[in-house]
Amino acid sequence: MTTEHFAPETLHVWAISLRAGEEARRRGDRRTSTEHVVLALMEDPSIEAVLGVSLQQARQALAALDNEALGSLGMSGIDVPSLPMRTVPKRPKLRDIAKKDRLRMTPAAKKVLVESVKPNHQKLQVTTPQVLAQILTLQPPDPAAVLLGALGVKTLEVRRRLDAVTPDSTLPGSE
Amino acid sequence: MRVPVLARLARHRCQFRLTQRGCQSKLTRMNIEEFSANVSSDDPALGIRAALALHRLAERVETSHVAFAREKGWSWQQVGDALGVTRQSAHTKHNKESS
Repeated sequence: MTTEHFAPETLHVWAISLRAGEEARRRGDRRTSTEHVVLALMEDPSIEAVLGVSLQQARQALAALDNEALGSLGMSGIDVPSLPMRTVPKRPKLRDIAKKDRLRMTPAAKKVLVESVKPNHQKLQVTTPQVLAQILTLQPPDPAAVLLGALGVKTLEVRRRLDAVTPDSTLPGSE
Repeated sequence: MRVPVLARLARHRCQFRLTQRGCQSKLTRMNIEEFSANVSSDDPALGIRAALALHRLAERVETSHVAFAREKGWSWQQVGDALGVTRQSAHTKHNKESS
């Protein structure tokens, strides 16, 4: 994968949140966590390119982590299929946000999105690299950091790639 | 070795669409002492991840069985009663048409 044609997409922050919520629902989680935000970002092919892994690989890595954890309890070989995902609008309307069955976010996931939009003039618009840059500041045992570790993603390398493709941005951690 | 009754039953009556026959017997035969020993792992990160994985597993099992119950003609009231929630809560959480 290359990052030559990197064109970060500007998204409504709720679009990322709702997408992450569907990833959480698919896995059977009751809250949207930072790992689901990573999966939601990987919907953008440029983020897959920067990380060097695909969405499918990330989902499989999470399933493998779950199997490993269940194996530590002596429960191996349990195969329950993931739940189907519902479609999420790219530009969510108020009725999408106000749905009663929307999953709540963990404090860490909420903080990632809040910190990502802070430098922006429009407080509800954010680019995927801005959110990814916030994700990269997390440390284990945060679920997103554990996922990136399991995928073999080198934080410094990704950071360097992000800086290279968005040199004038206000990404956190940039020198 | 004597095979436990539940394990013998499990061989013939696996849960619909959820658990493979081989896994069912593993679950049923699990020794509770062995399970307790495994739970007291010395790695808290792994233990907490296991707890969350169990939550996820339970959620998926619940969702699959509610869908099956609805296919069999259960009302939302019956589903709610079985889950210990109101029919509105059961409907809000599991209604596929809300997508």
